[in-house]
Amino acid sequence: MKKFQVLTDSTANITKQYREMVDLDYCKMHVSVDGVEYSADLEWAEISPQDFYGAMRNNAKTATTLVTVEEFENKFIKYLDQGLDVLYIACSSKLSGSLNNAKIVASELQERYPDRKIICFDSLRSNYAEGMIAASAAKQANEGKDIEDVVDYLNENRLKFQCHATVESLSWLRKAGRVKAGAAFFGNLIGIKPILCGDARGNNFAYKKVKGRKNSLDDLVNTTIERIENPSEAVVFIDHADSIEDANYVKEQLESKIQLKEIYINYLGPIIGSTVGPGAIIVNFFGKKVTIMGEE
Amino acid sequence: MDINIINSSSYLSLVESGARNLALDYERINALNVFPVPDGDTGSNMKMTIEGGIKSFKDINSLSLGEVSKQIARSMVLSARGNSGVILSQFFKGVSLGLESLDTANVIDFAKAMVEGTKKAYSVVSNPTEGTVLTVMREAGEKAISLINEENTLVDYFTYYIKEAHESLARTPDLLPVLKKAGVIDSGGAGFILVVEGMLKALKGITIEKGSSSVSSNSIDTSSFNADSELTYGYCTEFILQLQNSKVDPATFDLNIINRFLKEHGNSIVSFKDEDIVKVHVHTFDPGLVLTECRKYGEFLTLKIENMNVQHSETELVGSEQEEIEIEYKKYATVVVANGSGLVETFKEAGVDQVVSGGQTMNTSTEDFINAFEHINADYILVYPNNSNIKMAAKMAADNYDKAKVIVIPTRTIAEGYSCISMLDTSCDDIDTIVEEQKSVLENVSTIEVTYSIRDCLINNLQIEKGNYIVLYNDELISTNKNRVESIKDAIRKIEDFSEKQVLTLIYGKNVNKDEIEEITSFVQSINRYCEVYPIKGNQDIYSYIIGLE
Repeated sequence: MKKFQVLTDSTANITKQYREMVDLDYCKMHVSVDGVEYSADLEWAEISPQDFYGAMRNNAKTATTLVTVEEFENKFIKYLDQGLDVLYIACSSKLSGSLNNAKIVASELQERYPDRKIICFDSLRSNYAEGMIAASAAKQANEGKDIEDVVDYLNENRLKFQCHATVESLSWLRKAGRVKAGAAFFGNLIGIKPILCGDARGNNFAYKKVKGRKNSLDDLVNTTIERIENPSEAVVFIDHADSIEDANYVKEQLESKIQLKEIYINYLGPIIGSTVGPGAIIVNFFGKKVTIMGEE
Repeated sequence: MDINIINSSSYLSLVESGARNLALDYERINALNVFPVPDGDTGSNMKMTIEGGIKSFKDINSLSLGEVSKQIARSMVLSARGNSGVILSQFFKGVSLGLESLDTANVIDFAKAMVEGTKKAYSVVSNPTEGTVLTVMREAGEKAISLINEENTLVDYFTYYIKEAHESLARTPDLLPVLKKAGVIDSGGAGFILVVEGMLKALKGITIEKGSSSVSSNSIDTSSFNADSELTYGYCTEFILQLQNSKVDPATFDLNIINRFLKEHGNSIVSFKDEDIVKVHVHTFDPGLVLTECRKYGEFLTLKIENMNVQHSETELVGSEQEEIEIEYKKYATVVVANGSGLVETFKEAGVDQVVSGGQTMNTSTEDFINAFEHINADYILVYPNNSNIKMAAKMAADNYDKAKVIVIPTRTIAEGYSCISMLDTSCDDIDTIVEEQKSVLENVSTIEVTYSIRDCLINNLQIEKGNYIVLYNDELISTNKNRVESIKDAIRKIEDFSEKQVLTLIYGKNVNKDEIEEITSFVQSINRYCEVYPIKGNQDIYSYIIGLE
């Protein structure tokens, strides 16, 4: 019997179909475009991805807000009242303050629900990699596992869920300032496509320089092939920030080079999208533990 | 009367006469360029190299020939510019080794020393090419020494030497296809002969008038800056400011107010405050701004502003020692060669530690490099000469510097240097890996250069008219046209693997307008969607475009 409900948040980027399949809920963040606020809905209910990334291309100012206390309270109480414990799989605490907000809410609710478990877990990830962790937890919840055992599993394995990315223009990274890179890295950026990953500390870290868009896409393909485990059983999720042609290129390259169970292409949500910018391509998969580590 | 024994002072006059003879005709040597490109510089390089060796000695007659020749060679090695200059300076170094233990030299001694010179010159070239100045000096030296005995005079020796040198020079196009193709003789060899002919004149007692363009020994050599020059170093600005009661409270005035301003507008800042007086030294491109700012706080007691592109023999007044202390340590540092304010800025923005002036028409000397190294505090210095004719001076500087390990990344063009710098990543913290990665970046860069022809000629089956645009692709002339953009389009169509290129760095020079850049950009993208075009304002002379392709 299911003992706890798993929740994640807007950066997890996981599709409705997949969420419903594993019974996973999520808490919404918000994004504003030139001062107009939209909820960071995973189905893009309030603004289409084309409009969102189109606005960014036209230099619209975007800002993101973390999951509010109110949103957490509503969602947590909903499941607590159903008699379920709560496991919240949060976007990396290095990228969002949502985890902190969730912990505040959790400790308050703990007083109202003293016998219940409310666990807020730092996935150290974002994008589909975070979504994959949440989905894995949700599946285990459905199998009737204990919340502590699932958390142990996640602690052991979260660095195996990984995302590697490239961006079209560095200007978004610069503006957002949410990406870590060595001091020498951003010295000169002309023609440079950095390869980023969610690193072992949970930061988005630019760990490699590649020149040329195609080379950077090829690098993502090669990185996936090098790092993925049990490819024939594995699923690769490609997130793209309104760059479907390049996402298809990555998919085709992967298909031609390696036997995979499935490759899904999905729009990159607006929260991470606003820090990496239009044209970003992210590959997400389960593979060798990430040991790449940038500065704190 | 002819000179027949060479002592320290006659050796100096021989070298001096060689330098003057070259100075009379160095422009002809510049014109001996393989491509019809207005950037020939062999004559200038050799002239500046040998002139760098001429120095005044106190009481020269008390010094031995060996000592004087050694000092001359040492200065020449430091002033060496361009490959021909490096070879020339090494030749004189070899000669000085041959004269090392001697107070005076007779004809046999001298002939042997000249052979030593050739050997030394060969030794510094990693892949000696026949059909160059090396061949000329070797054949002349071997032939002349075989024809003389102790009965002969030095005039005899030099006469034989020069005769054979001319014949050897005439044969250079047979040895080096690139010369034959262009219909020229080797420029370095021709320059070298001028030097030796000058030496012969001195032996005969013929005085060569000092050419007007010779380096003057006065304190300021303004010839290094003219109507077309670019201010690349800015102004060395020094002053003493009397703080005024009418403007500030001198006793409590915070020097940081001035320092913050100086940091925004300059570098190499040294400043002191002593009661009501402030002393400032700063390198800035806009001394006017600095002066206006500082006058808010006081009036100037003394003021000195010097254009740093003009060479000053006087040393700066305020402590160079303090400056050294200020240099921040870093493990890896970079030095690039570039000319023109646009390129200097571009490289600085790219995080380069020192930009040394130099390039197509003004090659960088060994000493220029060493000076740049002195302004760096690092374990490893990577040097990008960005010109095949500057590589040797850079290597020479690397060999002569011991405060850091200096590694030359042999970039031949600005485009190559720029690519390497943009991909430089020191985070692996292993010098061998860094150098290896840089070399692999370098291998992947091709360069397109666009300039105009200075003569009518036929090269690679292309009929080139004087004044028309010509396009070089990796040093091969591949297209020509009256219209600049057409010449580039034509060249790009001829590049076989263009469809594989992804980054085109378009460094544009003077007199290039935005429309032209847009036309090139859309042309490039129409034939290769994945090729991104990045225009950079280089503001360089001569080459309207230097294009890196990766």
